[in-house]
Formats: sequence, structure tokens, C-alpha cells
Amino acid sequence: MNLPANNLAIKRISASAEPATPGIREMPEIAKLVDISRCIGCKACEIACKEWNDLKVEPTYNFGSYQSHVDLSPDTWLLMRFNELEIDGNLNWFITKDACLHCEEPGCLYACPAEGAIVQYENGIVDFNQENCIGCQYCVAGCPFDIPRFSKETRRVYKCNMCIDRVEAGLEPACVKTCPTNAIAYGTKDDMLALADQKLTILNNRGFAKAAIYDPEGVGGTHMMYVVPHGDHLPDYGLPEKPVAQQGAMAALAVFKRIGAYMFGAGILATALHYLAVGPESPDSDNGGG
Amino acid sequence: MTNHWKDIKNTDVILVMGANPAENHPCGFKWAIEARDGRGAKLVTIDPRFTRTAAVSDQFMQIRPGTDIAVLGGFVNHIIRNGLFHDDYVKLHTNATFIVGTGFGFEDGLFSGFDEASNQYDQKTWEYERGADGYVKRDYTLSDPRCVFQLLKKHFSRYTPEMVARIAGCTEDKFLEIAKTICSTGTADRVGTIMYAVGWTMHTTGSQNIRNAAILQLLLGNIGRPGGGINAMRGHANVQGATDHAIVAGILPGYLKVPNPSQTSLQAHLEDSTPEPLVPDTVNYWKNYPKFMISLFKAWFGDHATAENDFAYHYLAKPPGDATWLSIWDAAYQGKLEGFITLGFNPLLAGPDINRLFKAMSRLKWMVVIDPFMLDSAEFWKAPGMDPTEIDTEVIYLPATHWVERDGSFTNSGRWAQWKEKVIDPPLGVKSDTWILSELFWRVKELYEKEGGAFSDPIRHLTWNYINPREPTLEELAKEINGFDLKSGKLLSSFGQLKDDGSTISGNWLYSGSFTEQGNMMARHGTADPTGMGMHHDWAWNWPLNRRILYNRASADKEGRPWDATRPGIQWTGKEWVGDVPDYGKTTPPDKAGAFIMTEEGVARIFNPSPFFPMKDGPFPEHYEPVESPTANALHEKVPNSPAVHYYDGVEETLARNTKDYPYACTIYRVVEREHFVTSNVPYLVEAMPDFFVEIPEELAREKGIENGKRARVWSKRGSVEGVAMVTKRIQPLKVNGEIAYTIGIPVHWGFVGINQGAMANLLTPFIGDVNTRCPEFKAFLVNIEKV
Amino acid sequence: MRKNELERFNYGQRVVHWVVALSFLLLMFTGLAFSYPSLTWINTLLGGGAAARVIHPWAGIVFSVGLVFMFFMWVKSMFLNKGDREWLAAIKAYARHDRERIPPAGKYNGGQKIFFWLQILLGIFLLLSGIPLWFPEVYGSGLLVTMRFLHFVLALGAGLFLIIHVYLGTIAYPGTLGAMLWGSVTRGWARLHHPLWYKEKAGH
Repeated sequence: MNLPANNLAIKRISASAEPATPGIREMPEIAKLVDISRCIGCKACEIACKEWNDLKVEPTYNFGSYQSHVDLSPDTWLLMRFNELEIDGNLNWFITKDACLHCEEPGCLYACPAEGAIVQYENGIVDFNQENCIGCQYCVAGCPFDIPRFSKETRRVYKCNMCIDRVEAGLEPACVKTCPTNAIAYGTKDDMLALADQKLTILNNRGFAKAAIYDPEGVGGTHMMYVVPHGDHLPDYGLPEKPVAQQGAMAALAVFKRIGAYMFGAGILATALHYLAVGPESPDSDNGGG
Repeated sequence: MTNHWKDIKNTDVILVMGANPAENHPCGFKWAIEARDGRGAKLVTIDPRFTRTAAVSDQFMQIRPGTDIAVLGGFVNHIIRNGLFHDDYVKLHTNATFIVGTGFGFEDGLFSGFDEASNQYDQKTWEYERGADGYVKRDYTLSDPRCVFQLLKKHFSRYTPEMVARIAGCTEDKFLEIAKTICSTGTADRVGTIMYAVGWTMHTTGSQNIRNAAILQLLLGNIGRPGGGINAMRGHANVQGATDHAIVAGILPGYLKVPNPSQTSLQAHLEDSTPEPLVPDTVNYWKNYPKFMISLFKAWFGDHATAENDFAYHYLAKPPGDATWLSIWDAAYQGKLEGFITLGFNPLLAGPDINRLFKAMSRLKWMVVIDPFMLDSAEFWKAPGMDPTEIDTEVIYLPATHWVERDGSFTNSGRWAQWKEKVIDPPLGVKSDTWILSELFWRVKELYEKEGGAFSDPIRHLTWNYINPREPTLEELAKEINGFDLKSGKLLSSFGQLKDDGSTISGNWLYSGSFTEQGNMMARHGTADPTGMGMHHDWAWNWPLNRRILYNRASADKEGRPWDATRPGIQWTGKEWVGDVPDYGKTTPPDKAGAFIMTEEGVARIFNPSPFFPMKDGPFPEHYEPVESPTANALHEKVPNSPAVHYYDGVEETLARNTKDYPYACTIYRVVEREHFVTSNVPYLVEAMPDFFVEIPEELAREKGIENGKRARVWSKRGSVEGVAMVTKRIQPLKVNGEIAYTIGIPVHWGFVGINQGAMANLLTPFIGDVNTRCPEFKAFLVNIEKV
Repeated sequence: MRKNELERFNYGQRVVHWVVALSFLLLMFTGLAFSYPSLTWINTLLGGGAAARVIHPWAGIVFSVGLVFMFFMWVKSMFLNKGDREWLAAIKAYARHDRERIPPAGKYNGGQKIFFWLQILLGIFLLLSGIPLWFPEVYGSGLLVTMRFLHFVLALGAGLFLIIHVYLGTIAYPGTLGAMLWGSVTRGWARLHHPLWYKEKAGH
């Protein structure tokens, strides 16, 4: 691991009108690269995630699958999803690591109304700061990958933070560290893209003509990318084909808000002008008539 | 493993069969993935289920449980038919050229020499034909009808693709597609490996499954080569070490033999156990057997082992029967066993036919369970359905340290003994197992000394020279295992230094060299890889003599040149061998001895007639149906099951011989989230795989009205289990002998003790074992199923 | 009620009005803080964003319940009649304080009646759009973005009405506030702003 420690310059802060003061240090963007063709679904990453982040044990049950939990939760930030699928008469067992992809254009952050509840660092990590979270769950709606999970207990939202405490110390995330088959690589985004290309070549040579790199443009690319053997079956891996950060909607909302603010101001101004123009209207005499 | 984990990256073809390494050996499995992606190796999985290993394999073929020999035999036939074997290798390094005597034959499912009364073979009829010089006759043209090659060809000619498909339930096309890959390595520039585990051993034909794999690899010239070999993946971090130190019945440490009643003197035992060479110019390393055995006696009994008393040979029991696991259980069941001690093991859940084991345990007077966790075995008397008032067994549970609470060594599947450090302190009051066993020893010894008793010498004369004799350190034990020269007091650096005159000791000759005057070789952490083959000779230490690939002489041709120069094992420079630690004298020229130094033939055995390492069920493998089989034996209907299987008293009634009541094959297995039963105490792992389940093919589930995620009941003639139904595409219906055959799968990890409980898979399994090892037939038996 | 003054709102009406008014203010200020990061300090005053997130929907419930009371208390008086329509037609004159041209109003003029109905409608839709925002975990995140837009637009409307309402009820027409504080207005005020109502009241 040749990545520097103390690499947490802030790039974006939720609900912050101005971008955070950019750091003066030049820091590489980091990324994880999940090679689905190497993943054996052992869940070591799932458990390492829970262990490193001290996440609670949940009472799970077998629902007719090798999958441990039905869904992600505030206490489970990484879930291996299992899906049996026949393609051209051949059985496939799609096993996908479901966790935050750390979008370059983070829909959660754009949607978040609480200043500082979601922070994006220059290295690409999108982190939730629960102390600033107001529990509105707008991030849940804003996420195109359906990742953040709301805790009814704490009324805050949680998700993978890419082991930011490890990354800050120059270490790889726990899931990367533990993966027995090196299915999860970690490094700079540039290196991971180059590695992804190599992996694509390997897959093509193995006969996976439709193999693909999953680094979707709609969210500006991600800091967890996938190499997918069957690139024509993205939804079967649980990967949306064209995820968007709802940047448009959020930008529209921002425009609405601005217009709203102007209208509000205009309303007050109008009443003031009206008052100045016509003044108060009082009865001629307080006890007039009778 | 003949090779080692990292070496798998050097291969061109990986056959995973009788194993599910992605599930059970995920860390080692990375090297298979490395070969696949790094070298473009083909990863092929053959299994009754589409496993997590299959999910990342290039090719997969589903077979019916217990038909491995049919498939492997099919490969052998395919190779011979199409001339795909590595001709030079086969002639140089195997006994294909050896002539077998006229007495050998095979007819209607039986090899020659079968005695119906005892269900045993007389192996005499399988012997080689000797020449006038006393050595075995050979035919290097491989054309003599009685040479091993021709016998092999004839034997496996019945294993046509059509026959394989009929038995195993695959299609002929699929078989041929897979065979094309597997049989593609019979050339000098290609090499293939086999990864197997208990999916092969846990059958009545378990040993022969592995023999068949060896034959396949020998024909393809893959044994002894980097990237080749047949690689047994052991169940946990130290199963290999436990085996080396004689956890397996029938051996003493270092695979020495347990004396039998006819061997009334040390001389007789040594004569029976020390082979004579069958060819000139061969190492025949087992000729050193007396040195190993006498050094072991000296380690155990010290000054009480002298030439005059046969080195205390008579202190050893000479049991008439075997002490296999099944036989121990059977003795308990028959009321012939007073008690037993179990250590680091949960025998109740891990044994076949748990209802039988409940009865066996109930008939013990006492039982001691030593383990870090409370075990089902220790609480069998209060298991669901048991009535504690009717059980007199006194159970003593002794909490012991966990391996993270101690230092010591682990020997991995690749024979690497790796020293580990203690990580955390044990809970207050918990004692180490060495403390417990030492105390046991001292207290028994003190009782003998105080009260006397019959034949107490073996106990009273046991050597126990440790700094703290009540709790030896593991370093002390490691040194004792390595061995000393008694005259100089120096640690030995090789088993080559062992003597048969009582001047050396070694607790396990195989481990000589592991702890030398240079220090603890097992604790080395050098990562250098000068061979570039991932051998890492400075990392830890492996037996024998830090040799990373067994039989590595076979990685080179007649002149000592590597078959593949890009992947050398060892090579002859003209003066010496370089590369791996040679399986050979460092300066012994290539033509001076056979590559397979441990056989009396000097070559590998495609045909095994050896009286020293006999196969009780035939010199060649043969497909026999599991004892509980859903179909007839398509090769020989009259001999459906392995004829030499031992049936314990009263077991026959517990076996399902009709397929009307028990129509479906069932197999049991493990999942990656759990390790046997111990992980029922680990919350995160319980969370990751929370419930006992039953894997059911979609078609069968439909037929039975069983829905995914709902519950199903599975029962055999011995017991019944209930769990979550997992209806899956990953087990397909197969066409076997013209009929549709279903397979059901269930995992083993659940019991009635621990934070997470569930049905015990072994309630279903049959109390029957492999002919040679008595390893239970967990992997193929018959059941029925219904929705709950 | 002060002596010599005419009762305009009874005690119950005043309580309901202020419950609605205060809950609306709470809603508006927390809502503004949710919408404009520069106003986050408002939430800080109320115990922090998370507290505000809890307060806001409950205030919404109080507001909605108050609105229900309001509806039943006032609805009978709020149907537009012919006079109201005339009054509405002359709204420009009203804005200019051109008394001559303003048709006489009853207890409530047309503008107040329209305000009532709009306020009720806004209340209903704010509630309906607010519930999914309150429980996104139940309603799913799909609705959320749409509802966020809707809720914001409705709230903006309500806010603008509030400005007018406060302006008219205070400095624009001195004497009006008393109606909601102690319940009565001067006769002069009544005669000026609601002559028909004054006639009716004074006729007794």
C-alpha cells in the first residue's frame, strides 16, 4: 500500500452552499476494485466490515439462500448478494458485494439537507457524520444504489465509510485486507482503472466477451468499481444500468429554493412598499358610531 | 499434498473434485484463481452440486455422489484410447512397464484372490513377476499383455464415455468436454493439478478414489512437477500435523506401523515393515524403517529402551483389530469400551449415525471431554430426546486453552510446519492441554507407584524430561520430536542422522530438521523466492527436509533436465541437483536411482501390489456404488458395492437397501461461514449463516410441494432432520441408468449446544466406512424428503 | 373582550388560531432551516437538526389538528356570496384603501374567505406530502424526491400567505390584532372594515 496517510482533505459538504475550502495538498483519488470473477462469496469481507466497524450482530435467518441478510441495515454495511441465473443454458451463481460505491457525484450528499452530515473527501470517500445527521433520510432517496440505511433506534443513517479510519492511517479498508482470493483490489483510482483493464483482458480471453468495467458515468464514476464477467446482465448483479445522482432533481430543487427565497423576500418587500404607499387604514374615531 | 498451496499457481489445469475449496479452503484457493487469471489455467470443478468453487470455475460438471471412480476411470480410458499419456514419464517414473504375475485377474467386479467368507482379498495373486535376478521383469515397450500398462488399459476399457454418463449422470458430451481439458496435460510443456478433500475420502471407495487420481496424474506425467501433483486439502489448520503425529489409526508418528499380534519380537516387526528393493539402483527409503522406529522408542522410553529389551518394543500394544474411529465407536456400542478421552474434537456430531452414537456413549462408564468450548459430545445426555435418568455415563468436561491462547506449530496441507505465537491469555483458570495430559500422566504414574498394578512399566518408564514436568513447553516437545544425538546431545538436522543402535532419539522422524541447532526452523519468516516458483525455502519448514514438492525427481527427465524448462522442480547440473530440496541425494546422478524413493519399486505405482502399503480392495480402482445407492451398478450388477467393505454387527439393519422408501441420494458438506461445530459459538459467523438448511433441486421441490424458504424434513433409515428448504438450480436432476435421479444436500454444522442450534446432519449418515481407512461414507447415502 | 367593543372571535376560536399560528411558525422556521443551510442556526436554537427533524412533523400534526378545528369553527361563514364576489372584483380598490369603491363586507370579506379555503387546501396537501417525508422507510425512497418538491412549493405558498395575513392583521389595519388577542374590535373598526357585520351586530 503506497497511499499516504492523513489524506482527508474535504471536497464537498452536504447542505453547504459553498464548496469546502480545497486542500492545498495534492492527494490521489483512491478506489476499490471488485473483480466479481474472483469472488467466491465467502463473506469474509462482510464479517471483517462488521468487526472493524464494531457493528452489532443481527438476528438473521435463512430465507432459502446463501445470503446472510435479506438486506443491508444500519448494522450491516456490506452484504454479499447471491443470485442463481442461467445464461445460454449454463448455470451461473452471481455473487455481488453490495456496499457503498462512493460516487464521485454523490446523490446522497446532494440530497442531504443537514450541513456536514455527509462529507466527500478529496480521495473520493463519501462519509456520513451521524452527529450532524438529522435523520430525514433524503440521502436514502438520493442514492441511486439504495445503500444508506436508517436506524429507527438512533434516527440516523449509516453506510460503509470505506474504513476511513484505516485509510487515513494509510491502510486498506478491512474488506480489502481480508479478501482471501484478492477479489478486492485497492489503490489509486488510476491504478485501479488500469488494473480493471487488465482484468477485462483476462476475462475476454476466458471467453467472457461481454465483460465490463462498472464505473458508471451517471454518478461521475465510483470509488468502488466492479469488473463484471457478464456486462450484459448488470441488473442480475444488482447493479443499476444507468444510475444517476439525481443531480438534476437536486439542482432543480436548489433553483426552486432560491426562487422561493426571492419570493419570500419579495413578499415582505411588497408589503413594506404597500404600507409606505397607502399607509395604515384606521377608523376615523375609535369609538365612532354606536 | 504432494505439492503445496502456492505451487498451484504454476499449473495449466486444475481439477477440483471431491472438494469445494472456495468454501472450505478459501485462503489456499486464491492460488487456483491466481493460476486461472495469471497463467490462463483452466479451472474445472466436478461435484454433485454447483458450488461456490463452481461459481468461479471455467468448466463444471455435475455428477451423482459416489461416482468419482467412474469419472476418473473414464479419464484414464480417454487418455489411453487417445494416446494422451506422457509416454517418457510413464516409462521412466511409473510401474507401467512392470510385469504382473499370471495369478492376477479381474472378473465380474472382483479381483483375483477374493475370499467370500472373510470378505477379504489375498493380495498374493497381485504380485509382480520376478526375473532370475530376483528383480521384477519390465517391458519398456508397454506391449506385454501382463505389463501394468496393458492391464490398466484392459481394466479401464469398460469406462467408456457412455458408461461414465450412465453411472455418473452427466451427459457424454459434457464428459468429453471436461475430459478434453483434464487430459490435455500429458505433455512435457503442460502440467495439471488435482485439488481434493474429504469429498473423495468419505466413501467406502475413498482410498481408491485417491489411487485413481494418482493413476490419472501419473499417466499425464504430473506428479513431482511444479504445478502438478495430487493435493489433499486438509480440514483445518493442523490436520496434516495431527496426521503426521499419528492421529490416524494404524500408524505411529511418522507413518510407522502399529505392531500386530503375530510380530512377537522387534525383529519380526521390523522384518515385516522394512521392504526389500524390487529393482536394482533404487533408494527404497523405507529400508531405514528400523532407524526411525528405534529412535521413536528411545524418545518414548529413554534409558529403558535398550537393545536387550528390544528397545522396549514390548511396551507397545499389539492390537488384533484396528483402532479406527468406527471401530472405537463400535466397541463402545457393543459395550466393550469402558471410557474414552476426547480432545479438541466433537465426536458425537462428527460421527455417522448419531442415534447409534448416542447409544454408544450411553454405554460408556466415563468420558472425558477436553475442549475450549462446551461441546455437544459432553452434553449428549441432555440432548433433545435423551433421558438423563437412564444414562450412567460419567462425563467430565475440562476446559482447555484455545490455539490462539498458545504458541506451537500448525502443519498446513502443503506439509509446512509453521510456528505461531500466542495471541491472547486464556480465561482465568483454564489450563493448557499439555498441562492436562501431563497431570493425567503424573497422577496415573503416582498411583501405579503407590498401589502397583499389572504391566505398569510403559507408564512408569515413560521419559518425561522437561523443565517443568507438570507442563512441558511446546518448544521442548518440538525439540524432542525433531530428535537428538544422545552422545553429543545435539539436535539433529536431518533424519539421515538417525541410527538403529539406540544412539539417537526422534519423536517423529519426518520432523527431523524442524528444530535444529540453528534454532526453530518452523519459526522462519524469510520471504525470498530464489527459484521463482513460489517455493520460499526460508519460510517456516516443511517435511521432509524442507522439500516443497514431493517426488520432485520426477519433474525431470532421464538426464535430469526439467520436463518444462520454464517450470523446473529440480535439475541436474552435471554435478548436483539444484532447485527445490531434491528428493534424492544432492549429488546422486539422475540414472542412479528411481524418482520415487519411498517405494520399493523406485517408481510410482499405477498398479499397487505392495504388501507394505497394501490396498485392501484391489490393486486398481474400480467403480462400486455407495453402500446406499439409488441405482444398480452398471458395470457389474452382482457386485454393486465394494466387496471388501466391513459391516459392523447390527449395522446391516440400519442400511437402506431399497430405493422405494429412500429414493434420493444425499450428501453432506460444510459451508465457508462455519468451521465444523466450533463456530456455533461465534456470533458474527452465526449471523453469516444462521440456520440449518436442505438444498433441494427445483424439480424435486415442485414434485413434493416444497417452497423455497419454507421447511422440509429429510429422513434416512437412521434418523430424521428438519430445516429450511433451499430450492435451487444448483443441483440438477440427473439421468442415471436411464432414470431420473435426484440429489439432496445438507450441511453439517449444527448441534444442540452453543449460541446457535439446528438439526444434526449426521443423524442421517450410515455407519459404514472405507475399506482401507474406515473413513465413514458421509458423502453418499439414501434419504426421503417431504414438506413440513 | 373590552367594554364597548364588538366581539369578533370567541375564546375557542382564538385558542385554535394561535395553536395553528404557533405550530405553523415552528413548521416554517424549521422548514426554512431544513431548506437553507444558512438558516441552520434556527434548528440549533431548537435543539439541533435531529431535534428539529422530530419537532417538525409533530408540529405538523398539531397544525393539522388545529386546522380541522378551524375548519369546523369557521366553515359556515366562509361560503362566498354575491357580495363577496363583488368585493373580490373590487380588490384593487381595497388595496388602494379606496373605501368608496369597496363593496361592503360582512363578518369576513371575500379575500378572507378565499384565504380560508386556500389555507385549508394547503394544510391538507402539506400534510399529505409531509407524511412520506416523515416515514421514508415505510413509503420507500421513490416518492421522496417528488414529495420534497411538492412540500417545498406548498410551504412556500403558505409562507407567502402568512406574510399577507400578518401584514393585514397588524400594521396595515391597526385594531385588527385585538380581535385575535382579546376577541373584540372597536365599533369604528367594524364599521370601516366589515360594515354589513357591524350593522348586523349594532342592530341588536
